[in-house]
Amino acid sequence: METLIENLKANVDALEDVELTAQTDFVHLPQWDSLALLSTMAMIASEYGVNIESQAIAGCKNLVDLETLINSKR
Amino acid sequence: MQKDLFSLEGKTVFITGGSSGIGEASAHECANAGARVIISGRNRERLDDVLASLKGEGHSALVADITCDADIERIIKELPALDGFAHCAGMTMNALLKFSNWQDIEAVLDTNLLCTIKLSQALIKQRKINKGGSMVYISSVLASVAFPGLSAYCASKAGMQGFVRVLAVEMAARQVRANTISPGSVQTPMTQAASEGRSEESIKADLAKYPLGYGVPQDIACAVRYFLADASRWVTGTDFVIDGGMLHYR
Repeated sequence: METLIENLKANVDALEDVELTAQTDFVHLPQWDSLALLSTMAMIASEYGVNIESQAIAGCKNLVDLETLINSKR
Repeated sequence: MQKDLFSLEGKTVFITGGSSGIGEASAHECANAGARVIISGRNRERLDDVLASLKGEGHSALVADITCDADIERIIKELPALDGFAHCAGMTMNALLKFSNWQDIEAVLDTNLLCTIKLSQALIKQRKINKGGSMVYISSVLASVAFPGLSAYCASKAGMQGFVRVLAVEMAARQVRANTISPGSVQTPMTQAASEGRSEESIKADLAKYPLGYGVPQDIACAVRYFLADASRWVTGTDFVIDGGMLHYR
């Protein structure tokens, strides 16, 4: 989880200054927008080598869900 | 007292092509406005001359060829966090398309467009541009005007504008602005070299297209200062034409 949070903060500008935890409902943060979604998809492809569709990310309730989603595709 | 929105006091700005022409004038303008200026260029001697003549203290110079990947990598490591980036490095080549060789076309596109993208990408990947910072790129009115003999140059500057529009949107989350300036014909060593070999008649005909005559580097440097200053806080993704009235003159 720590690595995922580091990757998000380093690559998704909108999340750079947001305090993120495993339970953060990131898709409902005020900073979350279409560019943050695109950046997250690109970061996952680049850092984890998997492609995840935007709807799947939109369905995540928190970062635990996102990590589970990434791991399920690897 | 009201803050001077055109001041660059406390800002660190990086200017490519800083050893001559628009880059040199921009370095002076930014230093005069209070910025700490870092200039880059290929020629150490010319950079040192400019550096020695800049007002204020704390300025520095980086010898670098932006068409060289290793140089980009090195300057990114050496640069501090920046509040402003003015990309003034560029080149031109004057030859009708059917007489142009491919190496020359590639060199123009590489220097003016691909390296612009490469350097910008490196700057933003390493988060070298502070929040609230500004990136300004010297394009050209020739991005939207057809000038025989400059097809690669026109294409490179039009490409730069497209690139910067997208950059502006992508960088907005960090409150970083990105804009282009499109000068008309400005008397610089680069444009003077490009007009060598042209007939006096053709030069006169070109000058006649400029109601206010040709520009000087300082005309553009003032706009660079504006875009790097807080005065342009709400300006991004735009192109500022500075051409002595040429574009709309018929």
